Amino acid sequence: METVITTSGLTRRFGEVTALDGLDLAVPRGSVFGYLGRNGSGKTTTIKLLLNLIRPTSGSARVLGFDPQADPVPMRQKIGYVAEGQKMYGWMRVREIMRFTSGFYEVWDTELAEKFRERFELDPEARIKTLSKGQNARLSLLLALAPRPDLLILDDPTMGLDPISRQEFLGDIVRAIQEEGRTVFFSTHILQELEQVADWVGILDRGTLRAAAPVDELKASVKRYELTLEGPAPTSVELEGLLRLSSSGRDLILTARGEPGVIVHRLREAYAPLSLETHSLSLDEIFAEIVLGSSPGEGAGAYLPLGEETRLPGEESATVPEGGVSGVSGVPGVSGESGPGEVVS
Amino acid sequence: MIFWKEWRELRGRFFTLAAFYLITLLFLPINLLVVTRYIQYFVPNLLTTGALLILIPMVLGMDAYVTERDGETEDFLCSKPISRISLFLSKIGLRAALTLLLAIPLLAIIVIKLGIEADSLYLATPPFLILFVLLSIVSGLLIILFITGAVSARVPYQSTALIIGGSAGATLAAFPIILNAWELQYLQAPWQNFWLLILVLMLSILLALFLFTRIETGRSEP
Repeated sequence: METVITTSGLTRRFGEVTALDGLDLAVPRGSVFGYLGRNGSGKTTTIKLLLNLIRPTSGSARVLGFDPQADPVPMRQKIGYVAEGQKMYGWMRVREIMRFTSGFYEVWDTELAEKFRERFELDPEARIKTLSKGQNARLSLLLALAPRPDLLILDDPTMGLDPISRQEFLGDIVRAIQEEGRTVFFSTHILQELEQVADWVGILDRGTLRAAAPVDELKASVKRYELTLEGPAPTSVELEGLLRLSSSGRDLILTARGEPGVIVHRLREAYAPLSLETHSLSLDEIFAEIVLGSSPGEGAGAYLPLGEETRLPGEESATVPEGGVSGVSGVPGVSGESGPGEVVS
Repeated sequence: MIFWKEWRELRGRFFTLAAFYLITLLFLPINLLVVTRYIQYFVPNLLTTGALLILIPMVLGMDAYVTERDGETEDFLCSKPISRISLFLSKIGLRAALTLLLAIPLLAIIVIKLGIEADSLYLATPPFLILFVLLSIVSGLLIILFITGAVSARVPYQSTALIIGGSAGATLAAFPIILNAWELQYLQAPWQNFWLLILVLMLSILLALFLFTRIETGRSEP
């Protein structure tokens, strides 16, 4: 697998806070890699490290074959970057910032830039300070695409946009990707966005990468298993890939990552259940399972002990464990004030 | 293009500063009075003058970074394929050029006027005048920063500008008083240079301290 981004033990600390902890990441060429995590999980730190906007505390990275610290300028020639809520010079006009930005790049496709400008309905004479958030985001995308970059890095680009602008913006991204076939590294905290555009997903939680796999593969491997046993359900289960566990009376519900056939076989062998049902999960449910399964004091793949009233998506009432995902909406049975599928911390 | 952008951001201040000094020269004769009255006591050495010539663009360059940071455009600019050193030099270079551009005609005006009014002092005037004009420019620029900062609603910018502008304004205001004090008590050539240097250094350190507190490389929220 040819990769455009690889990191090895990439770590960044801000004082006592470890924003990114030993990140080992590989982003395949040609993929749309959704980098998913809650606010403050380390997504922006990762991107800033990749662009050499900040320096790592330890570890290394290669982006398009370049060392970001040693060769930031030639590397950035091949990268388009849209930051979260990108601020640009308010006094500049749209045509001025296009001309200004073009001056930095060896390659600048004026026709493409103009095409996007027309598609995005941006008035060339409009001053940036007069643009709406949606227009501002589109202008950022235009400026990132016009140099025909090999790698497009988008850092939560739809943050602050209303749902309609968000959808339109995502549509623009999808079209741009389809037209160019480039690699896109796309960080977001909005699960629905990721499902629309990404074919790979990386899940980051509290600075640690919990999972990185093709979306389809992740969906195929993470399942929820509901067992009814003859006797009382156990309080702990030894199972490789176990993410979460819950039981009540004779009912045992667990979520695990692995080959479903193998897991079912092992569960049948271990517990001889009266019934065993396998349920597929949506990406937002998988995200919740992985993040909740790695709550403080628990490593990835560890289970949460019973009796702490942890819950799985679909349960009617439960207490969110400390460090768990609070305010996740769009996940059945989980309350929150944010929009569907949106994770807030 | 980076020079174009820097000039566009700077030109308002530049023209305001030019206007400020023209008005000062035309309508506020105190500057010339100070010069003509005390010039014989002040012949700053080349080190002081050179230090100021370097310091001013540096301070202005740092101001450019503060402006980027206040506008939250730092990431946008720094993510472009341009090295930080190129960015730094282009920002400082332009400001140095503009400073000199502004200093030369002002210097010429004063020298000519002094040549007429104080012919015997003519040879001693240029180093002091350079120092005086440049010190005045930097102080004036900082006062303008203070005004623009006060007009804008950005509190961090405002507070920094308030401190810097206030310090610069106080220094300017104190200038004639200090001159008088020296004349009355301590007017000996070596001490004059020393105290002037201390004054400039204090002002510079003050500026540098406050500006550097605003510039944190690598600062980021996770």
